[in-house]
Amino acid sequence: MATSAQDSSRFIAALTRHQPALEAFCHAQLANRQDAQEALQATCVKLWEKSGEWNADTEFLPWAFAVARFTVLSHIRDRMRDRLVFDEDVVLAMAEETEAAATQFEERREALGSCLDKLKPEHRDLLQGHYIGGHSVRQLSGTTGRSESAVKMILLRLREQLSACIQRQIRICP
Amino acid sequence: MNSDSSSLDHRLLSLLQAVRDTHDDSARARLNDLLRVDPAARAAMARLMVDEQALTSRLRDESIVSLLDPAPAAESEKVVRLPRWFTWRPLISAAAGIVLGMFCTSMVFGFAAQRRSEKRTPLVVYSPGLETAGTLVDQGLPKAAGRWGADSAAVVTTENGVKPMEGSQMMRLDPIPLERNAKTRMSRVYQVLDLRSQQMPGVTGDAEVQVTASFFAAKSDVTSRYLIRAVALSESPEQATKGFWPKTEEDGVVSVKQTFDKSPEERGWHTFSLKVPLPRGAQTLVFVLGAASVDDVSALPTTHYLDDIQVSVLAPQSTQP
Repeated sequence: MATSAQDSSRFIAALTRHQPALEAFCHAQLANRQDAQEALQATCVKLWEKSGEWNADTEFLPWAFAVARFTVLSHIRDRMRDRLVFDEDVVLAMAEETEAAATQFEERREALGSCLDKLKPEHRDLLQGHYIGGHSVRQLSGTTGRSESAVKMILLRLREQLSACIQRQIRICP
Repeated sequence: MNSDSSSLDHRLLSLLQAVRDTHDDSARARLNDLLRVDPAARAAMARLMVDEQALTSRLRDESIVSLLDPAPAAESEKVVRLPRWFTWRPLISAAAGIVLGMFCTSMVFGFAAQRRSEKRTPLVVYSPGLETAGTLVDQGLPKAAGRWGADSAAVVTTENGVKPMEGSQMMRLDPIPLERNAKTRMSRVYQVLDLRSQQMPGVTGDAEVQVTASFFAAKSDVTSRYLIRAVALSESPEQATKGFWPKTEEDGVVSVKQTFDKSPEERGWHTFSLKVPLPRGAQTLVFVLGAASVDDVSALPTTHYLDDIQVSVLAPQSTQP
């Protein structure tokens, strides 16, 4: 653990600042919100236990990602296979790319803001219902009066549009 | 994003949707097989999942805001990267009270910028004008203080029916051509300011720097995006400009950027300002001004003009002479 009040403050500041990127890493490795939350929590605990090993003059995020990799793998091994999206070897193979993408989390989140502004209100509502409300495609089909396949297709296209828009925004203003 | 990558994105998202929505084992096997053998698919999947987290995070914030304020006022689009110390300073003061379980859960910080009640008056520390021809010297970031650097720009007089906002000269920011394959299409100019040489008597800290610039788009039918970025460093300009860009990500370096969008119907000169907290001991201020047209994919994207650039230090009145 951190050895002095000053070290603790710096550690907490670094962890708080980089927690969104760590959450993005866990989410990208597990593709499940609940699993990602659990892995993030385990990662934070492990980081706190190891805080004495962190040199405040070095970058926090690469060190934290290394710890997160282990906690994600440990989480996978504790879970039933049928609940997982990615196999363990795939998670391992993707880890490097995931770190690179998660490092850009804040930039991508910023860029997403103007992309969301361009969406129709009903499409924003659909995303809100699915990703925040946790409504299934079937439930959304019932509330919107669209067929399930139409809702699926809209959600798919919105995701594609948003990712492409983020890429464009980052090129315009990195 | 080219058609290959967009079709890969489509394939990955389709498989992911099938796995999640219908627990389709064959889709799961196909998704994992694709990721196993194709490095491009792994990179795309990682990016898409990080974007999904960004989407969830944005929507979550919006839903909280809508609960607090059902009819928020319309606001022009802006992107602000708050300097890190500015973001975490309130947290540091609360650090003693933070227990482990708290910072590992999803917290929403009610962050409010500290608004000072005392009057703050500006000390103009930089207002060079653009009346001296040949002002542009360096390609990219200048190597020393007091010189302009640019991606692609020139000092010009009235042209294309555009008159300088002040004096007889202005800066033309040439568009970055698509074929150059640059990392950004924002055409930028750079200036390094040596704060040590500025007369700022009595300013001991708790001050802000304000960078102001005016822009004009030559084409009337495109939306333009303007950028103001400011970076304050505690090193001398000679040191600060060495390996500059990675430093902007470092702890203790104040780096703020803001973009401003202007729609085609709003023609004319537009003036924007950015305020940056000025940390104690700051020796160098690097500021970047840029312009690009948004969603203008024509072979000749629009030129923009820049004029009337000023940098001021805003300090509490009590610290001024």
